[in-house]
Amino acid sequence: MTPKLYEQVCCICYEALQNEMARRSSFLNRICADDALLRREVEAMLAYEVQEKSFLVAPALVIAANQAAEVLNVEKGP
Amino acid sequence: MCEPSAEITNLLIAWSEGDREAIDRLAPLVHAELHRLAKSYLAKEHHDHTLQPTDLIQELYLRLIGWQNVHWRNCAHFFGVAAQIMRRILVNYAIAQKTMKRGGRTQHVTLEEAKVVFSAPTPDLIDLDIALEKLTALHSRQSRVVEFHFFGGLTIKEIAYLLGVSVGTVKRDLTLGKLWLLRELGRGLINDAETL
Repeated sequence: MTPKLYEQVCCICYEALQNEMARRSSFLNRICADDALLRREVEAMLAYEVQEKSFLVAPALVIAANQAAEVLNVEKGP
Repeated sequence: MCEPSAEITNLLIAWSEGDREAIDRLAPLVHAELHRLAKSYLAKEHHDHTLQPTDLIQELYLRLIGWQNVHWRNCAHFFGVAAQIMRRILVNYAIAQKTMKRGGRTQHVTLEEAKVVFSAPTPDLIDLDIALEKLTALHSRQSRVVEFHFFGGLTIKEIAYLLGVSVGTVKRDLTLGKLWLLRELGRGLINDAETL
């Protein structure tokens, strides 16, 4: 995918997300028209809408600190 | 408070002046610093002996930002470095764990294995790192927003301020960036399954 196509996919994808699920299909029909590749790319991203809300929600640096804390707590013992 | 090693300071200077490889040498040193800080916390005999990760991170950040002779151009520059260091630390950790397990059953190291409870399936850190690089080629700001948010631990508002864009733009970038990453990671899983 080129950056130009990706930008286009992002615009459509984000607008689709603002639409209710029931209206998305007609929105995509209209906006993608006969461009099957564009529609396929948009739908491929929209398929992850539910997972996205809980993806990468905890900061990685908390993970790093937890690792350090746990390792050292284990070393020191109760 | 101990002074950080001259090596760390020199590497930070090198990185801030454009030496992209300095971060690879910097990450293990900062990781060691994180462990040292954790140790000093324990030595202070906290009441419940439980380390607070956020305290540790704040102190690490304060030490990073205070290191002398490193001229941070602005806040974004500093937090960009911090986010990249955290990213490198975690990815190096995942690579090390994966190497240790080589020879045994094939298993990817996930964030879950880094003792973190997530409410959603967790990605393979190494795959996430690679996918993030690919996203940079497609949309560098989206990649940066994800890096600031996930690896740098910054809020949406902080990222907006640092990048000089609106909160709405950051929300949009984060949502779309994560959707693309999920798709990319999902595609990898399908490819893996096909090669089994």
